[in-house]
Amino acid sequence: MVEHEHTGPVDTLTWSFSRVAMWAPALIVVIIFYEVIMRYIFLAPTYWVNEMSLWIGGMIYVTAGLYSMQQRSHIRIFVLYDLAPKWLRRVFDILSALCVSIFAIAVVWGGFGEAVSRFWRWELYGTVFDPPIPAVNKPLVLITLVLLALQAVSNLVRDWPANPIVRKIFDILSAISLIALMAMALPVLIDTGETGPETPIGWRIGFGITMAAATAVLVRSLIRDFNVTPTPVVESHDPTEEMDLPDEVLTGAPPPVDEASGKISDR
Amino acid sequence: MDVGTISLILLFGMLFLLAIGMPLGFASGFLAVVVLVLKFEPTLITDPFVHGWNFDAWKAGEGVLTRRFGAGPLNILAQRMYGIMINYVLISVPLFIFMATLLERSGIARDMYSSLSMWMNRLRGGIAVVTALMAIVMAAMSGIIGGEVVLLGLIALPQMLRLGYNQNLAIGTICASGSLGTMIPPSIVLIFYGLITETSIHALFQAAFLPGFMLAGCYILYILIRTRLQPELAPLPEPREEDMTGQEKARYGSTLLAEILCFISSVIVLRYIFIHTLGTIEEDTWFQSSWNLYVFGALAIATAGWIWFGVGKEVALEAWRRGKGLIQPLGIVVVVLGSIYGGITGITEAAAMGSIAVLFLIWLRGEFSLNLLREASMRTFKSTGTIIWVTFGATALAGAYTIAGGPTYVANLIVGYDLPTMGVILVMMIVFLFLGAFMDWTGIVLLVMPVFLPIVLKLPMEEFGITGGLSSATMVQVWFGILFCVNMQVSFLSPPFGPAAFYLKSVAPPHITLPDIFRGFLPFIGMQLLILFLILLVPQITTVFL
Repeated sequence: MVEHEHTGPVDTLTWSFSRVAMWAPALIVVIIFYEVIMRYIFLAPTYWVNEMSLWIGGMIYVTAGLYSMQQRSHIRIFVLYDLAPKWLRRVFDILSALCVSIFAIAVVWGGFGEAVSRFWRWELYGTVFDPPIPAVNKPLVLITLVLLALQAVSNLVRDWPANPIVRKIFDILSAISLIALMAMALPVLIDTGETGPETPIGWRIGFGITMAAATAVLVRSLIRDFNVTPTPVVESHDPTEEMDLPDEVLTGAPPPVDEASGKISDR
Repeated sequence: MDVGTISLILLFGMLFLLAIGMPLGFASGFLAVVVLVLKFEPTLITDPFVHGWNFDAWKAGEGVLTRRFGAGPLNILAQRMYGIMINYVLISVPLFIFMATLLERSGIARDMYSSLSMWMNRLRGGIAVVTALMAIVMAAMSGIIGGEVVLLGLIALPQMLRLGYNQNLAIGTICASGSLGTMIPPSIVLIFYGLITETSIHALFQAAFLPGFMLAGCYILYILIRTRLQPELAPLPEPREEDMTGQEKARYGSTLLAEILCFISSVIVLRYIFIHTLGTIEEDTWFQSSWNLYVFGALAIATAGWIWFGVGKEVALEAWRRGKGLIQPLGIVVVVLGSIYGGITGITEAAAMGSIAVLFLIWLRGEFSLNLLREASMRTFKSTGTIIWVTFGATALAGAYTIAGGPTYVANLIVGYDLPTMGVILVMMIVFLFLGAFMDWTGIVLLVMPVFLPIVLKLPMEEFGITGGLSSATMVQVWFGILFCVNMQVSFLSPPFGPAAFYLKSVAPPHITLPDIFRGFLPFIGMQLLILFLILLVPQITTVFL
């Protein structure tokens, strides 16, 4: 599969996260298979698979958008965009990134209170298995949207054939602001339980590790790319790029046909 | 600001944002914000500096929307998105995508194609029929379009062009039948429709069966009749040595059927024994009665005996070799649809079981590698983000528009014209067709359905169609869902943005241009409209199996 390259801290963060998160659908398949086997063959249905897949599924929906954004694969209509002259396309791009940012700001503005209070109360789903779906997934919507907006701006900067200095400044600024955002969330790690049920210690350790890993990824990408002149992403809306096609298709020649049997021979 | 103006701004804003190439999901999300601002705090746009540069006063905010950070009507956006997140049936979407990407990466489809063409290559227009049949089987495996069109375009298009088939016929066949993925259950369009309108998805799947196969049958009939009338459209390939004669076809075909029958009956017998040794039967049903055991046991023994003594080992193996490319995909269909219709699993679990079945087949075929799994996972993740974020944006917009009173406004607008019952439905169909030409189907389900369906449910049921109408609200919901689904079939093919055309263009030889492709669609769009009218006039087509 052809992937957009990842340059700069925001891209790297999205990309590293997606490398881990992309296994989640396969994980859901596995646990559902386990459930079906247990139910019909061992007659001992589980009580956790259903909600576990619900919970992981929810996290996939939201965060997958980040990866799609980094890969520029969100559904859009290119017909008019491609007709526009270059400068107009830039205007369109700026408008798009602006609209995404406004959307993200509005969602955070409206949903911040609820998300934070649910997190501090460590609200559970209220079932036998009782996963913390509201406590985790509600804030996740907001966090992902903020990252999405950042990713949209990052894409804009990346695709802009401009001064590499601008990009470098943007890289440093975005990395710093991301780290600052995480620093603001540090109180999560030392929840004393004053605001309601305490966040379980395992979870707090998990968040800590996640944040540390994210910081490490950001810093590493900054250091690694510091002396690299970023190459602008080549502009192309050729859908074949997305599709992992055999070479003979890309060159326009028909696939090799085995004349004897009339079948398409193996690639 | 009044709802009429907001609706107009919304419409033009959407057209503008789509035109400038903004991703659909985020365009809807942004417009949701715009709707809320216009409704609750228009001063934010008309007079943002109402307090001059006094930042404290500005921060305090005048209107409902921005008065307090972290709360207020804007919360509807996050709430609606969270509502989507905790939907169990929606998990089937990434799982069906996962299954489809795995299928694309395996050689299962290619083998099915060679197998089918082996049986049909002496038929006039046979390869086109094979393409349509293959599309139907793949449609019954998963509910996604895109991958299917690409796959058919890769496998069948070069073959048809090489044999000298008419280009329009080849293109139309591939795209029209490739789009059937979202018509024949399990269909992702119906899953979304069921979610939004709270219709039983199971009922929708049952109802979609007949219309889906009518559509498919229409395509096949069209190919057969057209090539019979104009044989130059589909030249027959040169006869070859290894072509099966009619006699051979009959012999191998019957052997293959006997093998399948033998396998199925053995499974049923084994299942019976398994369940009875475990003692999990609480009540006897027809299927579990001992009478059935004897029938299927006898059948298994009879077919096995006939294969062993009647046809001989060599013929049996040869029949299996020629048919196994067909059996594999049919096995997956049985796993997916059998799980759903047989009441064994829900839709989400059926999708997971289908993925497991595909993985198992890939492993059996020796194609399994960690790299394959990794690439399939990566693509699944990406495509999930693409589909689901359109949904997120649209649900946010639907929520905002509902708060602003939009649905009531549009409903009053439509009812206000005093159209006859079928006139209202017809207007809606035209709206669907029009929107379908420009928008993604996900957006249409989420934005338009909450407005249209309540209107439809208020119309007198007995006036639907010309054959006596429907008898319950559920039936009306299901009928309308199927109508919508057929509309979306048209939208996949309709210019200027018909997605099927773009999928095919990406794998077609360069001399085939987009206008060429759309030209090839015309007769197939005609057939789709025909079926649409048929279902419109005879709603019973969708309710026979309910």
